[in-house]
Parts: sequence; structure tokens; C-alpha cells
Amino acid sequence: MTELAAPTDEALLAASIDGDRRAFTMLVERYRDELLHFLIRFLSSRAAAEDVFQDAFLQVHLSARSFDPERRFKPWLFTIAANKARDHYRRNQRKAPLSLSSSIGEQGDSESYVDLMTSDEPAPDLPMSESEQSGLVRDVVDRLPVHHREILLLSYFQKFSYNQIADALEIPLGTVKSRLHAAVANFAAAWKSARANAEADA
Amino acid sequence: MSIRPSNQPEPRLTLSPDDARVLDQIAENGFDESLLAGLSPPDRDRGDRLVGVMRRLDHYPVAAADTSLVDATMARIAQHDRRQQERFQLVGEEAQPRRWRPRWSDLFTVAALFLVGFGVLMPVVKRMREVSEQNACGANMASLGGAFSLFANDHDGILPASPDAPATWDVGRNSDHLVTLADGGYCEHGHLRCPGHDGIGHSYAYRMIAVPEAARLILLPKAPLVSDRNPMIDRAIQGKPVVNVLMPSNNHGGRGQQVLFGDVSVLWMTTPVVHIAGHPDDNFFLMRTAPDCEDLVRGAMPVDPDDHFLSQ
Repeated sequence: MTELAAPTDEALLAASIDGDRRAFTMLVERYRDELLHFLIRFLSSRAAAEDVFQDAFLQVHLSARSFDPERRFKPWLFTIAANKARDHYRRNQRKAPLSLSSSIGEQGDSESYVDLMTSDEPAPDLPMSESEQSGLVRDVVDRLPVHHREILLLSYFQKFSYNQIADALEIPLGTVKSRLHAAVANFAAAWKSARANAEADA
Repeated sequence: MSIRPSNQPEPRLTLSPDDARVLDQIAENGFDESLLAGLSPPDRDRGDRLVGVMRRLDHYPVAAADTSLVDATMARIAQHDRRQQERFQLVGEEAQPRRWRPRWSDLFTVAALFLVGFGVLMPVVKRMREVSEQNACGANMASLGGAFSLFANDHDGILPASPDAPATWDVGRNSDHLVTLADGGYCEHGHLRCPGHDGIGHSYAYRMIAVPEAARLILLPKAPLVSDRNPMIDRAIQGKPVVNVLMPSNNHGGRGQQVLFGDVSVLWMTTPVVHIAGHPDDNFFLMRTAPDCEDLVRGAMPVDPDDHFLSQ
């Protein structure tokens, strides 16, 4: 007995356009965890993430007829969600997190390189509980600039290609690369600094 | 570690070119660790470190979502659809032309307005028509005045009369003499009809000639020659007594009559009485010898040449 293949995202969306409400529910269920986690990491707030999650799927519902069936559904969904998250972030204009490499003043035109091979970061097996590590990661990520956080999430968690990120964020490919490089460098430097502070406090 | 002066802007932090190159390879392949095996030993080390840095992101705490999020999302979509539908219904109802159904009060109102309008307009229209007919009648008289002059000029000054006059100078057929003017081409037959007279027969009363020698136009400059139809004759023929001796002609609703005089002037008169110097007031709708009209229909004729008497 062969198992029936699960319908693709695109097929579910097409069915929902034809009035199949169950198909749309399946789509929401399918992306429930992945999209919610993306939004929680983006917005640093579960409540905000759930709100934007609903907004994003409402937008999908309203714009379903404009979806190009030749393209993939997931990048489209995350593009909508990222836009909604950015709108939410702007509306709630919190104090913008400062870049870890620019705790004082503005960043200049010159670049400072982080070379992971030469950095003297602590060994990964230093003792640290899971909860301590989680709290530290959250602090570091939440303090990253929103455009760094956004590109890290799309690249690492959603595994978007550079081209997909460029489409989703509507920025040039070169900007995708330079922004991701900067995001990883900032994250690495911030982690190192946060870890050192944590060890000093211990 | 170098000390940076505090007044200088912080430099932008980014990966070294080697780290960036390896990151591009890993990121474009979805951070697939199996790819690292295919890299050169130095790049593999960089890749390991890069993946190690990125793996820390996995520790970001995210609690699992529960099914209520799906329910809440679907409920929100359903609510939005419901509101949208209600809005469309409202817009649709507003866009649809309302079918007007008359109520009794509407009908009464329209009927009342119609009656009021009718009541106001009808007298005005009637009055306008009367004035128009009165003016058209006066124009007929003026045409007849011209016809009298031309006829007199051609016939030694005499008034028009049918060839068998004076035998036919009698009440009821007197105006037949006027047809002589139209037959002779001095006026049109239409000029012999008052537009205000809707009965059969001639519309105008013509002077009854008692003394033929005196029936010359030039001798009668102040005398009435033609007028609207004589109402006394109409009543006498119907056997009705004369109640009001000053009764105007019926051609214009009893309001008066147009009168053509010997000097071819036309005058609108509300009573049939002329005032000629040296003579008593004379009612040209009555014969002095038959003041009660009873003799009018019996072939009576005026015996006094100064007795102005017009008859159809």
C-alpha cells in the first residue's frame, strides 16, 4: 500500500482560492511552527509574533489570486511575513538596538574585519547550561540591528538563497552578501563579548 | 587590543574576505555541513568555525506553537471575510436603485398638487386664450374696415349689400350682406368669423339699413357698422326674454364686443351703447321701435336713420 503524497503548498493555495477552507487551514498548520519561530526571533516577542503571524496569513488569503503559481509558496509567505514584521517593528519603534561594534557614537566608513580563524573566542565546550546559553543568545540576537537579524534568520533558519533573500527584501544581491557578512561578524563579535562578560560575572 | 580614540566613529564590522568567501559558499547551500568535506583544509576550518557560530542561533528560545494559533488565524480570516461581505452588501444595497412604491398619501399629494396647479393654471390659460381671441377679432374688424373703404370707393360710397337688398334686410340674415365683401375680394371669408364664436352662422352683426339713401360710408363716420354677434337676437330667436338690455355679445364670453365704426376705427366696448353728439344714448343691439325684442324676429325694421341697430 502506497501512501498518498501530501499536497504541495502551491496546490493547497490553489484549492483555497477555489473555496476549500480546509486546504488553507492545512497551509497555516504546515507553517505554524516555522513561521512563528521566525517571527519570534525577528520581533523578540511571542505576542507580537502571533499577531504578525495572523496578519501574514490574512494577507496571503487576500492576495492569493495574485500569487504566481510558477513560483514557490514558502519564499512568498516569508516575504509577506518579513514585511509585516518590519511594519510592526516600525510601528512599535522601540529604541533601536545598537550595533555591538558601535556601542558609542556612529559607525564610520572604514571597516573592521572579524577573522574567525584568528579570533580568540572561548572554546565551545566551556561549561554553560542550556538555559544560560539560550538567554545569552537571545540577548545577543535581540540587540542586533533589525536588518541584520532579518537576514540572519532568512539565511540560516529559512535557508533562503541569496537570490531569494534579494527578492524578499527587495535589495540588490551585493547588498545581501555584504549585509549577511556584517550580520555574522556582528553576531560573532557580540557573542564573544557577551560570553566574556558572562564568564567574568560567574 | 588597540585603543580607539573616543571621538572617532566606530568602524563597520564585517567578515574578513576569506571568511566572507567561505560563508557565501555555505549560505548558498543552506548551511549544509556535508559541503564542508569538499573544501580545502583551510576553508574547511573556516567553514567549521562559521557553522559553529551560526549553530549558536539554534539556542534562541522559541516555544512550540499550539493549535490555538491556527484556530485564531482562521477565525480572524473568517471575521475579515464576514465584514467584507457585509460591506459589499451595504454598498450593493446603496448602489441598487430603490424601487419606489407609491403610497396613498403620495397619490393624494400628487393629486392635490395637480388640482391646485390645474386650478391656478386653467383660469390663466383661459384668460390668455380670451385675450388672444379678442385681439384676433379686433384684427378681423380692422380688415373689414379696410374692405368697407375699398368697397365704398368702388361703389359710389355705398355700404356693401347683397344684390337683392333691401328685401333681405331682415333680422337673422342681415350679416349675409357682409359676404359681398369677401365675394368681391375686398377681404377674406375668414375675416367674417370671430375666433371667439364657436356656434354656427355668422359671427358678426351688421348695421341694418333703414333708409338706403343714408347708407353711405362717408355719412356715417361715428356710426357703428359691424360688431360681434347681437345677443338680443339670439335670445329672441330662442324665445327667451331680454333680461339685461346692456348685455354684451356672447362672442367673448359676455365681457364685451369689438365694434367697427364708419371711420373704420375699431373699439372694444363693454356695453352696446354709443354716445353720439346731438342724439340720445343708443343701444345698437336694440331697435328703438322694438325695445323688448319681441318684434325683432317679425321683420321689424328701424324707421329712424339715426337708430343704430346691428344684427346678424
